Amino acid sequence: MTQYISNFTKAFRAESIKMKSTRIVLTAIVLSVLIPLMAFVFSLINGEYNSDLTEKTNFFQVSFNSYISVFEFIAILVAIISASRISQIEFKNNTWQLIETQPLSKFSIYFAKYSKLLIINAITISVFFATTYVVSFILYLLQENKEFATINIGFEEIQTAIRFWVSLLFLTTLIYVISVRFSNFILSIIVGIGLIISTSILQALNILPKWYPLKITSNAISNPSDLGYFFTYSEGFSVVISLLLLFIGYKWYANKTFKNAFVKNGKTISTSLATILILSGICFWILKPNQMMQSNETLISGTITSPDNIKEGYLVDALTNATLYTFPVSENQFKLQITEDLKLGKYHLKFDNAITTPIIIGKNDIVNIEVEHKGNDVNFKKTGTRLAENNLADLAELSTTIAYFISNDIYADNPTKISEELIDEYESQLKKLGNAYTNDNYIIRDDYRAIQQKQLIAYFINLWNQYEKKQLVKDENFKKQDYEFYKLLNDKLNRKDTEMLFDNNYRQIVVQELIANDTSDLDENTKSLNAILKLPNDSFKEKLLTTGIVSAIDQSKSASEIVDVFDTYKVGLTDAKNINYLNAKVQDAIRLGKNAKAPNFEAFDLNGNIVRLQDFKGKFVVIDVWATWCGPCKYVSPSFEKAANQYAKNENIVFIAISVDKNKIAWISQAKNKPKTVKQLIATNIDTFGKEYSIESIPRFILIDKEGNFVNSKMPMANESAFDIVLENTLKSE
Amino acid sequence: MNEYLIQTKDLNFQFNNKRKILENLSLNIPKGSIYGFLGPNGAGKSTTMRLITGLLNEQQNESIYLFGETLSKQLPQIFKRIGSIIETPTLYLHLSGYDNLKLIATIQEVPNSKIQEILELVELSKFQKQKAKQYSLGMKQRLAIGMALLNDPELLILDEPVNGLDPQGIIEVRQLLKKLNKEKGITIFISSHLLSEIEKTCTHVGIINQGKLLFEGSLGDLGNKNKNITVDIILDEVEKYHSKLNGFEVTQIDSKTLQFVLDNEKEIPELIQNLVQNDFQIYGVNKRGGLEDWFINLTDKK
Repeated sequence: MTQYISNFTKAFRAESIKMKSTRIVLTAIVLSVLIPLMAFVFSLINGEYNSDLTEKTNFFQVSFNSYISVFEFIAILVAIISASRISQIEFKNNTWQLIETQPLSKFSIYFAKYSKLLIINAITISVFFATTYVVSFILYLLQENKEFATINIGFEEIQTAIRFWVSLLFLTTLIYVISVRFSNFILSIIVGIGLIISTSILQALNILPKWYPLKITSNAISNPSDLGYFFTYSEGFSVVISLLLLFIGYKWYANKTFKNAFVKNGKTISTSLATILILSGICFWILKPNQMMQSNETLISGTITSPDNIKEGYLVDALTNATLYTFPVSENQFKLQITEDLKLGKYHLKFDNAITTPIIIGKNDIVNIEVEHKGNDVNFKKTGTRLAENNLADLAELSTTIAYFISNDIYADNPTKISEELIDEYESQLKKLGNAYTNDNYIIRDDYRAIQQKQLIAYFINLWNQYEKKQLVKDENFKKQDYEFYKLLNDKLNRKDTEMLFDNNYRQIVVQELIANDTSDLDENTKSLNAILKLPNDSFKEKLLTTGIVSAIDQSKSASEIVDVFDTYKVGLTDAKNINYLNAKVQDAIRLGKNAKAPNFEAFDLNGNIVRLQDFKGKFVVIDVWATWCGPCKYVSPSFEKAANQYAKNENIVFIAISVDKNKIAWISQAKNKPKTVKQLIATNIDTFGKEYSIESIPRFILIDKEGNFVNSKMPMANESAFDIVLENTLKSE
Repeated sequence: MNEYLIQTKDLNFQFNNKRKILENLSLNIPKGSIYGFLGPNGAGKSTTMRLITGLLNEQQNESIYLFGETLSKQLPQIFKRIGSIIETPTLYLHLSGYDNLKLIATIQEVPNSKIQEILELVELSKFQKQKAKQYSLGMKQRLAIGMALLNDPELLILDEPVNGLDPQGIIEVRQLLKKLNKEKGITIFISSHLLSEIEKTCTHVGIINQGKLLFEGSLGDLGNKNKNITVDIILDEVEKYHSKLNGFEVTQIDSKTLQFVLDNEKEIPELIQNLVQNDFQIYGVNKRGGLEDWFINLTDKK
């Protein structure tokens, strides 16, 4: 045993001597220092360091996170170059036979070099870490106002550094094994560069394999475990595949030829085969995606940390916004146990300070949510039996080129081409769906996957129907059934699936087909409701009718219209819950309908004075309801401010932003920097304001006329052109 | 009983099924000798050396013995007792002479003080700080020998150590090797394709051609094998004397040179007298070493 250790020590010290004046380590250090240093110099030149902070900022964390991606690239280059060069020292000088005629085992020779490489990687990462700390510390010192500034090495950064070192094993080992095997220096460099380039290409095409060396490294940088583990499957894979490569590489090196190494006699064949099979087997097992198992209770639990004092939370129907369940929040914790059957689907989880998040859950699912509301950001961490569903991209935001083509009449006269494109895009999206996995290698469960697949089909059938509509205008003989797309997919979608009614595209298809034979002159909404009413009474009809009425209410302009719609079609409803819900909605709509009196809200301005709606009597009032932590609000507010600027000179209209932040300090620090053309207010009582104006979600835009009556209590979003049109028309009709 | 430091017993080797590189090669290198391994290029010398040092991974378990034990059992620790240079001097060109030695010293677990001793021995003390890439070929060769001597080996295995050296360099290496053999008793196994070098340096010879051992024995034994002497006589012209050539074993080499074959050296004065008496105008006499001839003949045979 001591023989092995002394052998290895000698070999290792020999490597250190050999690396003198090769500048391999020096290169690694210089490149690692470079990135933070350059960024630092850049910051100094830009004077960025003296920024006005509004919330606690950890300078080290911020610097680390902004430099790390560029550093990842540098570290990869260093690993490739070092691994190639360390073997080249021997090839260039023809010294393999020198060291092989020394009292050194081949094992020591091979692994002393390999250890050196691992140490070089560690040096690269440590130098980067240290330099970033020094640089961010200096930036911290330069801050005049240290109220919100902190400097602290967090657990996360250390974890990322360690994970990254482990993830580099795969790439390092691969290049090393190749560089020892093949004397041509250029070969290992080409393999390395090839990996870098191919990674970019494959990623752009969305077909980057899970096991690709540079995917493994980027996992360590950007994809921490959702389940709280230090390492993910990715690092485990890196270790095992490295062992496999080292086995092959070392055996081949020690025995000179492939034959001698692996197939010389029965013993070598069996050991080689056994080792390779076992290690590959482990690799496959690690890469195999997992699915969560269902539980035996339906439960939503979690924590919510927020400066607001939150007392209640709600599970809401995503489509109708009906509150399904209410639960208390005490000491920042909540737990909702559901004993009835819950249909698998997307819901919204809402809290009484208006924070909302989608949640996918069904019967026998346990979903755990941690909500962190800090300053202007809200972060949600969702785990549980629907881990993948809640963490992977949703189909609701699907956008495709073929949709663009169809809506812009590209290839309009070539239905065959449209059909082909639809099929291609469908297949590619289907594949993309199948390839999605979480940071811990979990995939969506079969039942929800089935729903998503149906959603996908509905999306494309809907597009084809849109195309058909346009074609029929030009050519009344156009038969959508004649084309390949229709033949392939149309029958795959069951038109009586209650579960699928949550999906907009699906509903659209169902409704379109229901009214297909209605040739009357009525508008589409009315035709739809009529057709739905005629359906036999069942849950399908119930849901379809409810959502249809809800959408009619939302789209309607006048209160009387809303009452009419409700009265006409409520006969088709059998579930009292739905009827009551719609009734409440109708009352709300009446209350907030056109020409209804707008509630006299009460709010504080930036100086702490109380402002009421009645103060603006005689002017049009446009309101933007928002909150500092609301992401979509940040996206849309600029358009609102732009409109405010546009009408700044107009004395007849005033633009107001009313915040529903529970945290006044957070509101003040943001609101005071906003343009003066928008009057900044914060509701004195958020609950009251929310109830009076029926604020179900934010951002929300409201237009009130000179007499204090609603023009539109739920305007289009400020970044939609419809918003500007409504404003214009309202002012014109003056 | 004479101890053999290296022994190969009917060593056979081939890279593939087409051609045998070594066939039934049985070498015996006695302790304390300077053994010259002689053969033309491509005879199998380097291959043999690589096999003996374990560089070719054919572990001929039963065929190769070092210090009386099979090779495979002793690798790689046997290199504590052996110093070797296989083919071109292998040095780290980017390191100084000193660092190259330090490297080997680390591996051989030899104290740093020995490094200066070796530098003096191979006369490179003045150049120890310079990078090896700046050394001349002779200096590189001496450094390589120095590296092979760091561990005070009992056996030195050198593959064509004077290859590419200028005459001065060749002499220096030869003197060094003889000194090491005489003063420290180091056994030296050295290969070359130059007969003259072997003659001047070695105590024993093994001659190999096309993978087969043609002769093995002491230098004296080799000398005794070759009684036949050829003498080249350079005349004004050969044509004139054609008629007088009966009775001699003679061939014409060129228009001015005749080659006579004699039984032994002692017959040379007799031949000259004979020719002079016969009015041969003699311009030059070249004695062709029987050994050289014999060697060329030997290695010419297919």
